[in-house]
Amino acid sequence: MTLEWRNASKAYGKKRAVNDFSLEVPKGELLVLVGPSGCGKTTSLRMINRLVDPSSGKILVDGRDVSEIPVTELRRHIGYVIQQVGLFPHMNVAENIGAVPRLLKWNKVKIQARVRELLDLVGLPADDYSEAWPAHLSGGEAQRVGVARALAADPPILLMDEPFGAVDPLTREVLQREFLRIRSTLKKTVVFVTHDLDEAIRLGDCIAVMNGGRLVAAAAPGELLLNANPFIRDFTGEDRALRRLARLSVGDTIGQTTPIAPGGYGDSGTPTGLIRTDATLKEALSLMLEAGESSLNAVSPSGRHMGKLTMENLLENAAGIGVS
Amino acid sequence: MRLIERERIDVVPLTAVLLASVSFFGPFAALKENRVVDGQIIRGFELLGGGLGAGVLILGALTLVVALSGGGGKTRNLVYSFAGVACLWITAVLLVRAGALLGQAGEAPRVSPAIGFWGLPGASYVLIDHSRRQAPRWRSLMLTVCALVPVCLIFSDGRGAAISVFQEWLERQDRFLDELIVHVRLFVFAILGATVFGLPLGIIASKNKRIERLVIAFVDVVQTIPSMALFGLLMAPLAALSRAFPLLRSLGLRGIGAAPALIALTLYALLPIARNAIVGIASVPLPALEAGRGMGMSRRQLFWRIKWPLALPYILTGLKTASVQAVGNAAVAALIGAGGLGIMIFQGLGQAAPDLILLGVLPLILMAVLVNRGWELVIRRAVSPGLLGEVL
Ligand SMILES: Nc1ncnc2c1ncn2[C@@H]1O[C@H](COP(=O)(O)OP(=O)(O)O)[C@@H](O)[C@H]1O
Ligand SMILES: [Mg+2]
Repeated sequence: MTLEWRNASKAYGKKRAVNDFSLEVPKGELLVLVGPSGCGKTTSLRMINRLVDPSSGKILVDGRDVSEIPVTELRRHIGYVIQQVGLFPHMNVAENIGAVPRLLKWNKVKIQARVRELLDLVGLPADDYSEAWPAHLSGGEAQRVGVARALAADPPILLMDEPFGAVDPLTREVLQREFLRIRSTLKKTVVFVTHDLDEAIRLGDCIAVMNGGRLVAAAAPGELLLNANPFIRDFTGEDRALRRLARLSVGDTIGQTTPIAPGGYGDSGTPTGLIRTDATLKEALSLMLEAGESSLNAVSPSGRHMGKLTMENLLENAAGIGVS
Repeated sequence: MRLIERERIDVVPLTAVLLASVSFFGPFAALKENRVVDGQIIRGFELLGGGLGAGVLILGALTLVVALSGGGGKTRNLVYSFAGVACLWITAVLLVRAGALLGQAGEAPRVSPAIGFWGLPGASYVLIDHSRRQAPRWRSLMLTVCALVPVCLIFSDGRGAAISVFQEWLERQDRFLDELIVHVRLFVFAILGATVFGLPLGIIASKNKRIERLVIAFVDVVQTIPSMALFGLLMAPLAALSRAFPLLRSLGLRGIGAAPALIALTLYALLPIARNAIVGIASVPLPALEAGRGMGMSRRQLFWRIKWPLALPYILTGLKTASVQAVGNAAVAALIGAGGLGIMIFQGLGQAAPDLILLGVLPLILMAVLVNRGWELVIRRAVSPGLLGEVL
């Protein structure tokens, strides 16, 4: 389903939490809303499932104005994950996940099967977790259950408000990786709110940067890091070139720039360092600096020589030349 | 300090052992010829004699050692249960022996309880309750049976007839039963009334800060009026009402009797019920509400599926507190002619007859304990196990 904010604004008294916000999310795409605290991300997100009604403008889901859809009906078909998770403490994990299907009056057998399927999807063994109480879950486990609960009725749209904000950095990375895996199997339109730029770059198909209730820019991660807007340059920080490199893998780059030539290495001599094709360019740069070399041998995870990665490649990519 | 912590001295059973020793060596009962004379004091250890007495001492010492040393949980509990049951059996044996010592002289010879008579069952209750905490259900049931059998035996074969309270009871069996029923009825209706008014009041109050302050202020003020004063305060307006409206009078509304008692008891019970409902609903975590709303629950679904079950432990605890209080407060109702167990207590006070007072007080205590237990059972049943860890 497509999603669209059309000149949406929200005023609380005199304060404009969201100001003339317009943006479209194509079907199946993941939009990340990012920006400093208090810039209106949550408010914009909650307009979609009508937890906030816009003061002016409108929100369209598949071209339909959400204010014309019965509110409970709308919400039952939009998954919603929040930072504090909000599991129901008096229901066990299975009951929590089955909450929306119960609202939709699915039969028991179907709910039970769905719960098992979802626990499996989020990486929690159903036999160990179905009957567990929320009070006994770790932060990471609770958030997995939160995601499973949001996905329970297979909603075409998923809203996530800083879902991984409250877990430790290590768990956050695991959850991000798993979320990417889950997303690749279920093509859903997702709006993901975060204040963490790295998370935005990692997950987003498109990143919308907000400031003071307004949309500053919306672009693919690679382009965003090249944006000349002073606020965005400031927001992305002086190490934005490194962030760009961190997004790209060695494999993608040598495929793009150097034809695989199993024979010779050209004229810059034989590099001694090795880098795996699934490493990021940022890691490659670090290796080059460490070894004092300006090129590395790229090898596939199975050990095959794939080509050569040079400092020029890195410079081009960091500057955004020849990249989408 | 660290040593004590590591060894984990069991303080509760230690207290029980202390209580049991004082009871055993202190006065157990007084043998009297009638209700008012002072009588002859007898002590527990005098009654038991050589063999049994030694056994009791050994058991006491064993319990003491176990409580002081950090042994395994299971053996400890076994010793406590055994000592607890033994305490009750000892009381029964002492009672029978004291009854046998009693002369046939006097109009109504009796064994009048002294500290030991109360202390031993008290220690028994503490020990059994303590050991029950981790015990499986069937064992706790067996313990209760083991403890209650001697009591039943004594009373069923008539050997308990010498106990003074029992004698008072024999003298007024019918009256006692009537007052007991009146008492139960008073407190049950008061709790029903307070629930019917108090719960909705609490729920409405939790929707709005202004109403909440009003409700809290009202129930707080009611609670600060002493019960006797409240009964008095209600008498005048109710008497006036019943004089003005004969219809109300024919319905039983008068300045004295059941009506003012019921109203006062209901007002008292309002505070714990309404306040706990407010606290309970305020305790519902906001993220859970947000999640519920966000997944498309209607207001009604949000209340019955989220707020109510999450507030339930608080609400039921409020009902428990209100009920236990009402059992006691209902005794005061006798003062304005509403009847109940208070009758025995106030008559006993008037006649300086402690045995008669006990006839009112003992069932009162038993009732309070039973009501408390009953609600705890309900809480365990009705509240989701996901919440029990925090509340109980
Ligand atoms: N219910 C509300 N009442 C008043 N002000 C609000 C309310 N919700 C949000 N705001 C204000 O709107 C602004 C944007 O809030 P929010 O969307 O939550 O920001 P973000 O999620 O980006 O941190 C903030 O300044 C916040 O104080
Ligand atoms: Mg926010």
